Amino acid sequence: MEILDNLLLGLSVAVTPINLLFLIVGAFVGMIVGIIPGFGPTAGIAVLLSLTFSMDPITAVIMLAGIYYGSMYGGTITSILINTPGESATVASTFDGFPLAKRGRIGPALVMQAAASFIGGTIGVLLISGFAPAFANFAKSFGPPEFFLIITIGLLALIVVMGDNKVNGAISALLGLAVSLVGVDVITGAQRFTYGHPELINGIYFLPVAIGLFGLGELFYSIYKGTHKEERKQAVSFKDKETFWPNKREWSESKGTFARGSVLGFFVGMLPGAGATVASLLSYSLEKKVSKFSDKFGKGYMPGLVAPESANNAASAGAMIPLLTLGIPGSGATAVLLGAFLMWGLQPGPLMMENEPEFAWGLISSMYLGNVILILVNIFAIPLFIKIMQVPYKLMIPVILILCTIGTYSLHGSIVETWIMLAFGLIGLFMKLYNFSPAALVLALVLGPMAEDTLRQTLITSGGSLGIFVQRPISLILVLVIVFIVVLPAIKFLKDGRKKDSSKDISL
Amino acid sequence: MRIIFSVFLFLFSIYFTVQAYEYDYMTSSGQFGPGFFPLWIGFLLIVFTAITLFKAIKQRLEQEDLKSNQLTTLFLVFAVTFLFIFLLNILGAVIGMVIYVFALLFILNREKLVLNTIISITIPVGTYLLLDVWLNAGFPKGIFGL
Repeated sequence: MEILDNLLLGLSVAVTPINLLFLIVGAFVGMIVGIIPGFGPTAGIAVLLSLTFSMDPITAVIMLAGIYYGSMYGGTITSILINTPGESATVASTFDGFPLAKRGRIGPALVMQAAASFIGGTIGVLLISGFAPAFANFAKSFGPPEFFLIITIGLLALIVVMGDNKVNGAISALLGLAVSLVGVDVITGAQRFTYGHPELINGIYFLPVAIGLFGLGELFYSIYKGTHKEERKQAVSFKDKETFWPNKREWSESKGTFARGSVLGFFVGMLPGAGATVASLLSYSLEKKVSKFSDKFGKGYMPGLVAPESANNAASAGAMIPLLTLGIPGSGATAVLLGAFLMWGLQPGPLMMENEPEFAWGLISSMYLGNVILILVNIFAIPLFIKIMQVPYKLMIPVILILCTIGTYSLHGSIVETWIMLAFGLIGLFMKLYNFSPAALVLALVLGPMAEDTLRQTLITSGGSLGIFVQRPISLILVLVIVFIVVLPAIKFLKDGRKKDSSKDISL
Repeated sequence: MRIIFSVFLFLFSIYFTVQAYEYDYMTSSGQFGPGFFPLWIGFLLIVFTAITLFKAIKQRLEQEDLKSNQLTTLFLVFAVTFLFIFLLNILGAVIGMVIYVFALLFILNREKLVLNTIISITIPVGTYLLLDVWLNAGFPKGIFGL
């Protein structure tokens, strides 16, 4: 009952004409962000954040969250139609989405992805409503040691998902921490890495860095790859209703998939570092394993599209749990959302559900509404998005560049921040080229001050002893998780190395 | 290019660590000071960037990177963006944006001058109306007051 009361409170906050208007704007922008290649939700939220300074905080956050989960809907459209995922989280949607389109099932594929996204998003938000308060309650017992360890796990998880490029992932996170150290040390008041520049005393703001890495860096990379030279995409037309709506068989084949994908996606999304991409891939492979028709996957089988789609939307809802209840994001996009919360003086954490119920529940309720708006937008505005998709990328480049540069300048009217954005655009290009992780950099930059403060507070409490991390039960469990994350890949690495050596011996 | 980027990261790590040494590791009251965290970050950076540099040197013998025939376009887009930011406070946002968008389209879409001119006016004017007039973004006015 309490959840229902809270949701009603949230709805009373979220349902105002102005909030609804900006929720629709956010959903639309999210869809477009999802469609544009190389311009993801992180860049979208970061750029749009700079435009929301004059808004009411709740309205602004509702709009930005709309962009965040709206982009999951949009990214799939290009996955299905042109076999090019708009987001990394929609890569798995190309496996069956594109073959479906090739078979002439474009309309049903688009409608089913919208339905899967809606069901995934809605189940995700239902689960948030239940889990967030319980999780926040549990997290109240956390002290600085636990927070430091959770931040460490979040960063390590982002590094681990980088596969063979873990060293590059570690460098990315360390660079983010290094950048976060610029400015005044809050404990002693000493200035670090400021070189007497007044603009650096408050530190390097995360938004120019995020816009540089994700907006400019990705754009430079797209030019490098020659995306601007590609031909216009062919228009798709829907001749009659029969070819637009999914048939009964497609619905019944996907029934269980909706539920499995959504629940799996939500829980994977909750894990730091894993996020929507991992969730969608896991959901696809799970569905393939449990299905009686696993040989149909990859050839245009509807559950093969529904599985990743329900999972990536549920995951973007699941990722809100650590963000809202611990104040610890697990991805680049949620790191920027956290930055947005902090900018308006909203401190996510275990106490937020109690101290700021209007905000927390207003945001959660807006996600229910957002999903309803998005499914309507998806089904009825598909022709419009297909038109947007046809705009050649070379004509989108000036728009993206103007948004990035002028958007960054508008943050604080600072030319220094605009230079920082350009510099990180170049760094972002090289990071992308050589398999570094811009997301780990931004996450570490946002979490850096909290990581340093909690570590130093922990060591002050323990008199400098690291033993405190294993003396408290929750922190002991977290230490074991870290050991597991670090040691397991190391063992695998050593085993692989040994195998290679022995195979060499044999060949010799 | 990979090797240059790796050298840059390695040198940055050394520089960062040397700087971190200048801050107190411990405060006079015996607590961890402002140099504690940076020093550890710097130390780890040196270790990891050294590994990447070693790998880059090893790989360089096997393959050459930066395989793109779009490097000139990429350089021009970067250079025009650099100039736009450099001249932003002098030209002002509106005039700066018009020239910037036109220059970008001249690089990317040279054959359609009329379309480029229309876009070069509509995008900056739209951005100005949306951000500066509606959302009070505070664009730089420049010497022309625009």
